[in-house]
Amino acid sequence: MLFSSHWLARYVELPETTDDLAELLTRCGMVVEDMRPQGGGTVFDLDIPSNRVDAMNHYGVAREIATARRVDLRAPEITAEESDPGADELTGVEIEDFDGCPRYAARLIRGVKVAPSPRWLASLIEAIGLRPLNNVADITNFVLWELGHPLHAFDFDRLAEQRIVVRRARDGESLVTLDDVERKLSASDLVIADAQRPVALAGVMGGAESAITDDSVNVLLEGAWFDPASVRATAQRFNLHTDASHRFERSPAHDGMMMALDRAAGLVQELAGGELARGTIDVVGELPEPVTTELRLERLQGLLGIEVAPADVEEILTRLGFSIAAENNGYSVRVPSFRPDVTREEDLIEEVGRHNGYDRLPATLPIVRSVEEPGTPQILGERRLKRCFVAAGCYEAMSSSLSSAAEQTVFVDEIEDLVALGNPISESLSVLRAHLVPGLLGAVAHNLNHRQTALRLFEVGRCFTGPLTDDGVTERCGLAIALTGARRSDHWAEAAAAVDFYDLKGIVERVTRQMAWPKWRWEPGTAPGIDPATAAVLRADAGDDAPVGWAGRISADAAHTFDIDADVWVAEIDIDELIGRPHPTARYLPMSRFPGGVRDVALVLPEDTDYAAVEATTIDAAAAADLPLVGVSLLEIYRGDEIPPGHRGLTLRFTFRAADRTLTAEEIDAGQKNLVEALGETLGARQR
Amino acid sequence: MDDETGQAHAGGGDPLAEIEALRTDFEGEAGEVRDAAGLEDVRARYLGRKRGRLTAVFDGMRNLPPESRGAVGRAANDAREAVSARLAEIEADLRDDAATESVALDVTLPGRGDEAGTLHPITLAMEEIVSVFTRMGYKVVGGPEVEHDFYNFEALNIPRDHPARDIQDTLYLGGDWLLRTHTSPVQIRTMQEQEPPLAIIVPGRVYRRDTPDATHTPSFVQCEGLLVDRDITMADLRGTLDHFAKALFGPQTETRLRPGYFPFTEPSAELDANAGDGWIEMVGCGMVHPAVFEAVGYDPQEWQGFAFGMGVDRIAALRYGINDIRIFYENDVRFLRQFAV
Repeated sequence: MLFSSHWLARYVELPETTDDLAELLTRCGMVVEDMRPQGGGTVFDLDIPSNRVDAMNHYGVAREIATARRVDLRAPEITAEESDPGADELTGVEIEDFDGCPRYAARLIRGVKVAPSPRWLASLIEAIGLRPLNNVADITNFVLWELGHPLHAFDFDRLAEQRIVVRRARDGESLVTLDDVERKLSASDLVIADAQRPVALAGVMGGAESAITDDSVNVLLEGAWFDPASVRATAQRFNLHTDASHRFERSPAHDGMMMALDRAAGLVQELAGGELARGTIDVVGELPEPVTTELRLERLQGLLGIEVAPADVEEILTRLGFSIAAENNGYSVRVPSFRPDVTREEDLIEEVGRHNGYDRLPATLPIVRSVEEPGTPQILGERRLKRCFVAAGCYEAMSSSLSSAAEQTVFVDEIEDLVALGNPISESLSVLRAHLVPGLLGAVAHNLNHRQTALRLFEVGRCFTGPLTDDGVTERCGLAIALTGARRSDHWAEAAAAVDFYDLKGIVERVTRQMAWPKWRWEPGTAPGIDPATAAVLRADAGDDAPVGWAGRISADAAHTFDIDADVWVAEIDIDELIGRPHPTARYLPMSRFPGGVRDVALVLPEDTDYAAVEATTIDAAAAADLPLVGVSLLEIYRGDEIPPGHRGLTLRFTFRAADRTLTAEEIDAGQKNLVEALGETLGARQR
Repeated sequence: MDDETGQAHAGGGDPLAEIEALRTDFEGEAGEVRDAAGLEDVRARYLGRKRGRLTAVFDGMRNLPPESRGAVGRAANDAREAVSARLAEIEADLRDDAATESVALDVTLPGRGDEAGTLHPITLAMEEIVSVFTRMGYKVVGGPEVEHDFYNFEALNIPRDHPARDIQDTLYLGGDWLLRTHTSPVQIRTMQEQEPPLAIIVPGRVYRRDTPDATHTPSFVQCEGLLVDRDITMADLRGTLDHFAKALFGPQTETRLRPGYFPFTEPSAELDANAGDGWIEMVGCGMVHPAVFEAVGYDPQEWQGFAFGMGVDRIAALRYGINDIRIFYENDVRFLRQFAV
């Protein structure tokens, strides 16, 4: 909001330098966003807090300056001179809708001479970015920016029956507003009408037909007070944000129009001549009660943490326009009508604190009475998980939670599961992510475009699924990984191979181990967006529980959607149940002090027997026969001449060890024989 | 040298002269040793039980007159110590030589191994911010990103027609559900669940209906703090945030508190910090508005507190010298790699 130093100087003595003024304004809570010299003065762009409607004008800002400097504020001079007949003999105001318009006041000036404004007026309103039109219109703008109360000037002779009716619009009515746009009105819009038709959109914008022109002679000045919500609704419906609506939405003083009308009438007489009809027409419904609140000095000190001398409290509040009366250990304070933001004691404490100066507050450190964990289990779990991925060589990515249906549906079974925004910014940001992989693929595409081909990315974050119900949507913690390109950076001693499924699985397994989470079962399966030959689903437990995740190489379709020309291996896992698990304390298991033995066996098995079955059969057989088996691992997969078609060779290593004795070679041999037989019987394995 | 020579010396003559001679000979031969076999040869020739020259001197002592045994014995012992020490030295040198490659390594070649990854700079900045407060006793908590109007607005003293709803342009899902525009709803949720006193710090994603540009992204990360107890003052707020700014940007950092406006704090303020490059707006803050306490069932005459909030993206940008925050969400590995954990 623009303010001119010349203009402010009409009401208050300013600090000597512009920088001092800027500093003072900032310390009052009106941040100087920009300032530039103009006509020997300075124009400030101030960020006025949105609840301070009283400071959205020069006189209001001058009041802040006067308070901050402890100097006097000079009110503008009212020069109006009225004469007979009375305004009520010449026109009338009727309010049909007191809810929308609790107060409507008007003054009438006859015989004016509309002309361009004098230089002083034109230059003031030009300084704050307004375009001068004619003296009467410029005066209403000037008064708005001087005193803060929006006024409107009608060409009195263009009002049917020369009277005003404030009412809701009727269906089918329309109004051409000052910006020459025809507005179709509805019954929820409050309008100012004459005897026949709407002539202004109440509190928002006047009508073109009744506007002041060079030919206007008689002027009706409107000064009203509207229901803030009603103005806000109409302004939003027409997307019409004006200086007037901005103020009426924020509830300016409900008596502010009286001074504004007199000020404007005086200026019209001064600049355009004319006779001011005696009296102000003032139709009043129910107005807000004046607010009186107490201010206890003890509470003031207790909240601010500093003592403020009673004399300072009194001076600050008085200069700001509050009426105070001393009361036991404090004051009874009457809030002026122009401060609708002040309704309770804390509001007054802010006023005193602000003008006493926040820089006077001591910097004390409170004692925090807390003996809790440093964070919730979920937050601590996330932090640990991210570090496990970093240790595994992965880069943390953060992508937007806002995505497009096109990208999300690649990996989603049911489109209805997506959560759509009601008022999206754009198509590409119109749904909440159900999965993290699309975000990672966006990052992969970006990196590939910049010739970064070896990528190990992960993301931990929220995923959202519908439908939207009375309880909102489902919001769960997810985890995703994307790998592509060389396994490690090129090294002079050996070329790096490309990543594959087992790199992906290895990272997941490694992280799972570090987190002390239960292992997932990896099973062949299908997942949208994943090449079926490479697809795995992850399950938490034995049985038919729904998968908690999926992994594999993205399908050709998915690659096309994300504009990727590379093999990308991805995994996505719902970790909502796991992320908040407390990390278990390790329990020491004694190591055997006795040597064990290792046996390697080369087996031939049908190609479709998966390794998980081999491992499970081995462990089950060892348990059944009470064998001292402590480990089984896969040394090699072999496909060669000696292996019949439809089969593959697996070389297994069995490790035997007992806790209480040295195993004999016979025991170890017997164990091996037993396991090989079990694998033969159960899976048809034979030794090579 | 051969055995005869040794025998010859041992056979007769002056034992002291023989000791001197064998020491000289030993020094010469020791200098010629190139390997373990050579070392053992020399050891045998001087200390060998059967044919060692020094052994022979010791053996011959019993034939000496008693009056000369003392002098010869001392000389022989000195010689044995010297010879043994020299042999041990040669042995150590030979071990060192054996451990050495025939061709020296090029120690300047790059090493091998997997690289560690990195945490995202926003995560790093967030953890740094959060840790300043956890060190003071605050607990980190989270909350849902899809929120109900009540928690995001109503309970925070932002009723339906409040103009403050314009400031935070909201993304709506439908009905009263929306994407939270700030982390403040977690204040409400925490206070509803817990009795005071409490001290929480709340990092999390928030959403605004902003078109992406250099200083705005529609989803970004905020961090919120709340302290409630009986006698918390605005001076405490100032002290806490001043400590925070110094912890984050260095002890030379200056701060200033100036008036601000938030519907859910009264008085409200903004904290500016100057770490040496000029004042920057850093934290919005204030004393918890009594209407907020009333909304969660705390008695505002009994409890006081302060709340504050800051943009983590913004602080990360300041901290790392980034001038366009959109780069955070591109996840370019050339960028990510710069933030080693």
